[in-house]
Amino acid sequence: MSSFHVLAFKFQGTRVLKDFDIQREAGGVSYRAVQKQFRFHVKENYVEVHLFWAGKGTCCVPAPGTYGPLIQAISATPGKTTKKIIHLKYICHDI
Amino acid sequence: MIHNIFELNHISTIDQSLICTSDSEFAIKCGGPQIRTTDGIVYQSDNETLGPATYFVADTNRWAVSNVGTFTGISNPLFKSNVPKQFTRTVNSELFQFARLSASSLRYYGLGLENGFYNITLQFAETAILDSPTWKSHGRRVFDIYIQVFLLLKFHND
Repeated sequence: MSSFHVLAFKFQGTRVLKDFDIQREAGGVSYRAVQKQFRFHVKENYVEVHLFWAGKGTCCVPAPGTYGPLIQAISATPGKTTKKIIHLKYICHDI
Repeated sequence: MIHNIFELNHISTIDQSLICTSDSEFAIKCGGPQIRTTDGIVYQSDNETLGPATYFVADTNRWAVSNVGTFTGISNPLFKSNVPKQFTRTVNSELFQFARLSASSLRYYGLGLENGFYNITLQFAETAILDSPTWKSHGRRVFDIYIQVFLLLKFHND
């Protein structure tokens, strides 16, 4: 297999959810499923979903270490393309 | 800096996957064993024990996960959880019992995808912060989510 050397690269993308709080999304209830769906355009055979703790929320209640990203499942399926969407410049948007 | 090193590691993985691109979908059971839900989707196992600065590439080379960060006050974090409860607003409770946790930065990669438009579904349920009126309900989990596609501007072949 021949090897590639990446000389330059850049990320194209967007923050799709800011200050996301699972419990708040579930109406203040724990153990309730929350589903978020987004459409995006893969251009180089690759997508990254990045969950990032931006230093907000609580660190030590109810237990030390109870903070940071939590996720149960990720799935992706091909989306229908329409001319309308292609003409949009968005790489990613909430659907 | 740690972030950058891991991104570079991933690039070498991604380069290989570019050569054999054929898949147009993936499903990951974050932090747990493989599960087939009632709608027929097989969520592949992401049951690896991750450390505070580790990544894992699935056997299929179709997806990868990278975790960075340590929890304050915990010496031996698992970065996954199992809460055997019944979950509401879903018919697939077992999908939500296992979860992937991170202290700071958690990245999932879909690899070897055919170019084009995709719908991505992220599923969550809070399992650590309780909703009952006790002191255990006073925590708050807040994080941001980015979806990024990666553009190689130049590469050359040895």
